[in-house]
Amino acid sequence: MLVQKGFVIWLTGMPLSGKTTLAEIVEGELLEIGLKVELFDEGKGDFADSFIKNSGNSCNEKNEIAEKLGLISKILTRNEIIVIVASTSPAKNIRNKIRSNFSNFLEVFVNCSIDICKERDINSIYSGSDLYKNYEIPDRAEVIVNTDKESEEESVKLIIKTLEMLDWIPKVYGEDYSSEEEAKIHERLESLGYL
Amino acid sequence: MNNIPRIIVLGLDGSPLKLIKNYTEKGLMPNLKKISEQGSIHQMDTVLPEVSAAAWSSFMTGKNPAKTGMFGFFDMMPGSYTNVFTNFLHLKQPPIWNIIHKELRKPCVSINMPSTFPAKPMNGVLISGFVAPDINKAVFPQSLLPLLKEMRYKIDLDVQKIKENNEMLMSEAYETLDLRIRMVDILWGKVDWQLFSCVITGTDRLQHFIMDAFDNPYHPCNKQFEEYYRRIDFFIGTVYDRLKPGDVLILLSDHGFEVTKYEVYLNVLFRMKGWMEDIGFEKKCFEKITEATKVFNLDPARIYINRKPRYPNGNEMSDEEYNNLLNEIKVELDNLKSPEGDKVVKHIYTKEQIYSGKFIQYAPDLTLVPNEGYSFKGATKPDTVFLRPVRHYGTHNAHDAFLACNYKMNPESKPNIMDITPTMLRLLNIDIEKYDFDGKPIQIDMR
Repeated sequence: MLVQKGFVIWLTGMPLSGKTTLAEIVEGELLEIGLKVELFDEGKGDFADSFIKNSGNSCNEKNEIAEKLGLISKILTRNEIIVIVASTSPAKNIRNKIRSNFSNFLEVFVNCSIDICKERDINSIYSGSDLYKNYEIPDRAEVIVNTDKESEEESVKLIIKTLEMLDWIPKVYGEDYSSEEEAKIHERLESLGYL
Repeated sequence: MNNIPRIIVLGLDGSPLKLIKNYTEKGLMPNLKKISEQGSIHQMDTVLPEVSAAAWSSFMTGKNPAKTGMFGFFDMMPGSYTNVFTNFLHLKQPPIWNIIHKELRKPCVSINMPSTFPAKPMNGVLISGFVAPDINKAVFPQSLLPLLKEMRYKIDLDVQKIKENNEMLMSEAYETLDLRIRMVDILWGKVDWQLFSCVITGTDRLQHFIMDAFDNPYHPCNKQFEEYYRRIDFFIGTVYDRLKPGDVLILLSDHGFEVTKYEVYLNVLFRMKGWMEDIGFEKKCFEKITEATKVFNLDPARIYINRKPRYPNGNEMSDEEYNNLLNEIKVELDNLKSPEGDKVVKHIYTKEQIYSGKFIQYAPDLTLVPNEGYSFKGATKPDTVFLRPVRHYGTHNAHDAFLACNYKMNPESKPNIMDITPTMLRLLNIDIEKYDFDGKPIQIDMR
């Protein structure tokens, strides 16, 4: 059996920048290769429904949520579970404080222009919120994805490739056969009359 | 969660129900007989084309080839005539063990399932099956590799040896079977699995070469053929004896088999009709196709119209011209007669009749089902359409696979190989509606 090590993928960025979408796709990719993963999203799912349902959209409230998420992640990762967090976590010092609790922490800055985020804001999250003025852009993020310029597929690939490079997840072989492998397959199929 | 059963799948690649029934009635397979009497046994359809790459891919996903993207062991790269050997990374749908992990976080074991090379990471253990050319990339987790090398594990029979004679074929078949049985012994208690699957492919190999031995007492390999199935039955018995109360044991084949009367070379027929140019017969001969070719065939009976924009040297054709050509080909094939004057083609299907899904654009324009005894070939080599078999005396069929279970199965109609994954997931209390399966779950009476 594969020995899995726990780590955190922390997606930070302005509301509606695409954190949830990317987090869900990355979760799917990691599940597909058999890893034990839990996703915590400040905007939806069991965590949001149970712990933060009455929370607002101010910087302070988002930072408090981030700290709660940091604590849950710490408990799970020490039991070798992979945790994906989708959290605005606007304050740099809060993110750095959370990071200090982990040996394997991947900060992903989900970057998107404020105009595009506001275009997506059908529920008026930004109305009356100080988030877009006070969000502090990360300076330590291991991965930066630009969801207003690249496809979801490109952003996810970048995150997955980084995890592979760090050797935190098992590598998937490439699709192509070597010429030697092709010759062996040809011989086998020919021997059974397929070619 | 505690009441969901463990499921064990034993695959006998290519074993036809006709053979299984014959051997169980003769008393050669007492364990399988006991299981099918305690539960039930059924004839099962497989997907078209009836080859293991397409069939096992549809088994493990519950979906048709236009969703799995797997129409055979090889296919043409889109927009070209370049043959590519398909592999596990080309599979466009999640295999059942991914769904079990996603829904239940439980590990699974898969040993020797065809078309699972290269081994992809999963929750559990995967040892790839045919056509895996390199053991180093056929195992997950890699920590098992030293053990496999130490026991000289074999993915398949040695091609060079089985070419020599039937004694070597039998000896190779026994050796690989014994290695497979040992692997099951080792992994059975090592992993806390929810689904344990193992496919025996030696059955298919024997049948390719000596299918004519199965019910012919005068065939020199008749007794060896029976002995091989006895050994398989012994293996089934060892697995059965290990079951805990409530465990579900499913046995199946991925296609049927029958004795070959004639090999039928469709590309030769097309050449004779002036629908296909002479492209020679070397490995990459299909890359020579020009506009002079209107239609060509890939093994076994996957017929493609050489039309733009699908193919770079395709013919410009309106939809009307395309349909007219298809009809002309259908008439020709429908009238195809063997040297003895017997009808060769049983069914001719357009892709829309048998496939649905995102990858239907890559499906053959026509797919054939032969009458009994005819083995369609995609090779371009011979100068005659019909050849008597000289080394391969068996050919696949789509209608005579088998399905057995230690509990009674109550299928509403003839089961299809695509039904098995939704059936197993329903046993595990997983909501199958969200997975868009083509197969229908079969009701299993667990009393």
